[in-house]
This record gives sequence, structure tokens and C-alpha cells, in this order.
Amino acid sequence: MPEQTSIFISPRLTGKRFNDHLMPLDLLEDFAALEDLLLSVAKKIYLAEHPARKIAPKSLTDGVSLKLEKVDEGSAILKIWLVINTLLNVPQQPTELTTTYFERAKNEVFAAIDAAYKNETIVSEFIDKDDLLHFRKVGNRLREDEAIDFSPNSENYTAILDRRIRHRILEASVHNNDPRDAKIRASVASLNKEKGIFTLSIVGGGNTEISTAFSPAFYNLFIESFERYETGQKILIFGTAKYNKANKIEEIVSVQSVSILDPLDVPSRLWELSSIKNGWLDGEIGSGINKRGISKLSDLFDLHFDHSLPLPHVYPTVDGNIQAEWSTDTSEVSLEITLSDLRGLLHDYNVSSKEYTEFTFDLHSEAGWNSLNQTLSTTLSH
Amino acid sequence: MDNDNLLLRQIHPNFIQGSKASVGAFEAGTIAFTPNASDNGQLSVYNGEKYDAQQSFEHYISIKGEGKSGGVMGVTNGECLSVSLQAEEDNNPYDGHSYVDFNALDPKLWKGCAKELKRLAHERGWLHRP
Repeated sequence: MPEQTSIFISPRLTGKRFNDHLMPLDLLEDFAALEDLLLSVAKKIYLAEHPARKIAPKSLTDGVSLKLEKVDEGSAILKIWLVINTLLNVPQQPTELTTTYFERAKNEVFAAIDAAYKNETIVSEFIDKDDLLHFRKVGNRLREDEAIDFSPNSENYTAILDRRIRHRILEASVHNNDPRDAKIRASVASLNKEKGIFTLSIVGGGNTEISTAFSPAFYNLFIESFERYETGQKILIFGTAKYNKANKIEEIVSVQSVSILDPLDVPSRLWELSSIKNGWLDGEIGSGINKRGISKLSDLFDLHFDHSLPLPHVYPTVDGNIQAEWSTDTSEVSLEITLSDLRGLLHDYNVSSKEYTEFTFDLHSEAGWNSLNQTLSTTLSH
Repeated sequence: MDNDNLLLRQIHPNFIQGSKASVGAFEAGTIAFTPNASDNGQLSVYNGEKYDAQQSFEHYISIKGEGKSGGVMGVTNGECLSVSLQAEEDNNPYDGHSYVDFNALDPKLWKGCAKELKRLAHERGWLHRP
């Protein structure tokens, strides 16, 4: 049978059961469920890139399967291949393209496991709560001392699944519509005086309506933001909100406070830049922005940046990363942040002496942000 | 090229952000003044002797497409020389095309020079905004 294959995953199994380097047969069902999950995510990625289509073409997934080749002797590492049956996979869907979608689906799934491993929110526009329910089967047969490291050689992920992490993922799959605390950045897109409703365009995606009757004090701030909508003016709302399955705000239930955001508000700017696609600079040059990376950067900036410091201007770099810039009377300071690993390179150029100094920061960690804040505090006070 | 010769740089909209000082003022990022990987160390500019800022903007979007320039800033040849950068007119791929050559400098110094150009351009202000 004509087949095109490529090695796809080399997961490592750890635990007493695997010490003899054999894989128990019951775990095969876990990997079959992983295949179903990958198919679902690959279809979603395809549909996101082809908005005119309502369903993914059969040719994307027909004849595609994961196959276990063998368990290496002397190792608990499996070799799982992506197999594309070229008789079933019709010609108009090149196998390279199918492989690309499955590679991307794999990266999304591994990043979701990575987020659960780090006890972070799972952020993916291609994995919804229904997809996470596949983890009822994926990892279901793992015992207390066992784990599957899906990508043991990856520098990008810690895609380790054990019972604890699987439980976290399944908790995230449960849609709870109860109102919860919310910090909402939004612009006020319209006002319907007759119905007493503002329509908010929310940073992070989606629109929602809110009654004008919350409080006279808030009303004036909403109006101020509405009147400056064209300038990009945004407000920050602390309150409670209900969320839909895709974790988008469905309804703002209560408002505790409202404030006008600084025009340089960094999470809002990062959200704007997250829509940048490949070829943005001149049609060919200019890499698209990694949505997961920029979302994580936005969360970490909000959490750890010292808000007593001046806010930077923020721009994309040609290679798809982010550069923040501060200007003072004597210095031009830039911080280039690589989104794949959240490393920051700070370049402090003194316009009087024409000399520069450079510093690097690990912006995954709170310690890295503290160090950045201290350096900026010194640098920007010159 | 005379020292007073103005060199016009098209600024991509993604390199422009509204400033804190006032809603009408916009900042351009340093990257807009840095050659990218495909520029071979040569920062493309229009020769201000042959185009005014608006003409350069209109010419640029006619060849690159709507939305590829968010405005025009400029530095003079003399200002480039003050930070050890030479400017040349090569008229390629169109008449008036010029470039600021970063190649004579150690690449480690490019960021600093780009920051100097950005600062000089901002002192002059926007020459054209659509």
C-alpha cells in the first residue's frame, strides 16, 4: 500500500511498569485517543485559515493515522509515525500540507499539556473545552508513578502528562458559567441611548453589551472612552463576568471600578500586534506573531512589570518578535523579547557618550522581571 | 550628495504608535531605521532632491501597496555622516532610490546608529502623514 510516513512523536514513558522497556497493551487506547484529538485540532487550524469553508475537506484527514513502530530495546521511548495512505489521500491535498497541519496540531496539544504542567491557563484558539475532553482517554491508564513525556527533547515545551496534570486539563474542560472575577480591557464601540446599552469591543476578542445604569461615575468614563473610540482609547474594568466555552466574555455581571487606560497600555498594544500575519512588511518579509507567545508575554507583563515605571512604546520586529522602547533625555533603551522562549535583550544606548550596555533577562520567571524592573529603574532615571 | 540633502524614510504602520504626550502625536520605532535581513545592510530612502515627502509616500504605496507606509520621516545626509553612516543614491529600482549604508560599521553598532537616526528624525517631526 503506498504510504508516506514521517516520525511524528517519540514519547518517553516513565514508571515501574516500563522498566522492562515494554509498553502495556492497554496504553494503546490512550494513543488512539491522542490521534482523535490531533485530527480535531488539525481541522480547526485548517478552518481558521480558510474562513470561507464550513467543514474541513476529507482529504485533510482521510488515510491519515498514527502508527506505533516499536518500542526500542534498552529504552522506554516509543516511535510513533504519522502515516499518510496516498491511495486514500486524494491528490489535491498534498501530503506535505497534511503533515504541516498535523505538526501544528501536535504543537498546539503539547503547548496545552505544557500549560497544565506549569499550572497556567490553557490558551489556544484551536483547542476548545470539547477537545480537552479527549484527555478522558489520553493518559487514562497511567498509574500513580507513571508519566508520558511527549516531547522529551523539546526546548519549547514540558509536555509531560501524568495523573495530576491530566486532572488539571480535565478540570479546564468543564465549562462553568458562574460569574468570576474579571479584569477587562475594552474600547466603547457604541452607545444605544434608547436601550441604555454600551457595546464594548474587548481586548482579547469579541464584543459584549453592558447596561448604562451601573453607576453615574462609570457612565462618564464610558462616554469619555466612547467619544475617543477612533483614537483607540480604552478603559479598564474590574468586575465579574460570565464566560462562554471559548473563554470569551459573554456577559459583564457587575462592575467594581472603571478607569481610563494609558494610550500606551501594553497588553492592549500586544493584542493589536497579535493579528500580524506572515509577509506583513512588504508582502514577503515580516514574520507573523506567535499568538501563544504574545498572550503569555501580555499576562506576565500585567503581573510583574513595575507599573511605577514609564510604559514603553511597543513594536513588532521583522522576525516576528516584540521590541519595547523607552526614550529619555540621554538614553534610547530597547528591549527585544523573543516570543518562543521569552528571553529579553535590553540595549541601553547613551546618546551623549555614544556607548551602549546590554543585559539579558529570563522573562518566564518573576525573578527575571524583578531584575528587569531594577535595571529599567536605574537606566530610565539617568 | 550635499549635507543638507534630505533622505525620506517610509515608516510601516506597525512601527508607529500613538504617543503618551498627545493623541495627535505618533512615535516611530527604532526598527523603522534599521536595515532588515534582506536589505544587505542598506536602509532604503528616497532622495529628497527628487521627491517631496508626499510624493515619496504616494510613489511608495503605488509600488508596495496601500497600507505599507504609515507616513514619512527624514534625516539629512549630514546627520547620517554625524553618526558615521554614508548615504548614496543608486536609482535602483527606481529613480531617486537611495540608501543609508550600515555596512562600514561593526553590526554591533547598528542598533545605536538606528537609535540616533530615529532621534534625529523625531526632532524634525513627521514630514507627511496620510
